[in-house]
Amino acid sequence: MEDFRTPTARARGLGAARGGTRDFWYQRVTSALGVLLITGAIIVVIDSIGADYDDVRALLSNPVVVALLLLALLNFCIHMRIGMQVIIEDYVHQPMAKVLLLIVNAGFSTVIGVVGAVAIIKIAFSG
Amino acid sequence: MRAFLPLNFGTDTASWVAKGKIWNTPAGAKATRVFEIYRYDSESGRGPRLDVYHIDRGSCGPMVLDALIKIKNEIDPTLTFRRSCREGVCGSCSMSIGGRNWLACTQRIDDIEGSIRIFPLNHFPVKKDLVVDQRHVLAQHQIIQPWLKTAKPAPEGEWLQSPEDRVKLDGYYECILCFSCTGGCPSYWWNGDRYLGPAVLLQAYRWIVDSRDEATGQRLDTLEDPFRLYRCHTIMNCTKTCPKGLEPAKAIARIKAMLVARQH
Repeated sequence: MEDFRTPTARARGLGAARGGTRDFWYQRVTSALGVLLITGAIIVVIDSIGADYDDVRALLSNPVVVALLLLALLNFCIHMRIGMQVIIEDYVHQPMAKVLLLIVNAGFSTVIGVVGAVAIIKIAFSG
Repeated sequence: MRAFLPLNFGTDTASWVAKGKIWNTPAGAKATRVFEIYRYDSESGRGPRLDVYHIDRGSCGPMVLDALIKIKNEIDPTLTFRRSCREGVCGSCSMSIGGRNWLACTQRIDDIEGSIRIFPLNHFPVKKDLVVDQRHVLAQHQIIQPWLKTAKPAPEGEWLQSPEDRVKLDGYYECILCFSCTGGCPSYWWNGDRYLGPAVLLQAYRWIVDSRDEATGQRLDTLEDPFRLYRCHTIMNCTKTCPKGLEPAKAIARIKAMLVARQH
């Protein structure tokens, strides 16, 4: 179908969404926080190498440790959701496929976050 | 699967560049340079081709534009390209030269090794040879309203501006809208229908940062959009390919910083 809209009409499109700043800001904040949180999380994991279940449970009974792991998980789930959304918006142009993938992306990040958080809390409070 | 990964990423086989005509080496030339130039006529019904020209370096000026003019005048008058000022001010002769978008009039022939490949600016629809259709990007430029906007009536004299505020325009007011940066931006390739691109955003910043302008917030409103502005992923091709040495990526980063600043 030939498009008879003027170049101005095409360029203006649906107008400005007046959004995007929050995702942009969260992506930067979660990047910076992620450096600190992943360092802490890696130390916890290295500390747990070779440990049995009771040792890990004892480690996670420390509220600072369990908070660190939960914050790291939340941080990276937010970062992952925004990052993947940007990639989908960049490269997927078919409207239906785009909306579907955006929903799947948000759902995936949420499920990973909830499952991970339940697992950490379960270990931490199983004593 | 085909819908997601179409053959050759969906490029029309008719757009593949075929081998073109090889024009004869000029008689009596001591030193020649080879120019491989993209040739295409959108009205011909035929696909594009790459013609090869041999230029007598001894009788040609120093710049790529000199060679193009020489080809048009002496070898092949059908070669089509835009040019006007021939000194890096008008922005007409931007094209892809040796794989980089630049102005033909400020690109020295001797600074490129081997044969010199010249294509139209990346991404833009080609009308003929090196002339591209810029209607969309010029319409996008209109969106940012590139003129002084004030609620107050104009004073009898000029709008006053301190030397410190005037300095803030340096590095931005010099843009000549050649669109080398926009043509070189991968984000613009994927989403140029909605993303405004580096040239237009640099121009937008030039007016946002102008102390005499009274529409700063309104200008930011116009840009606050996941596609119009936030498709910029700081790839920095724009800064690398600006023939005026400007930094569109920096201008875009400053617009984003302002949008964050007004949230808190």
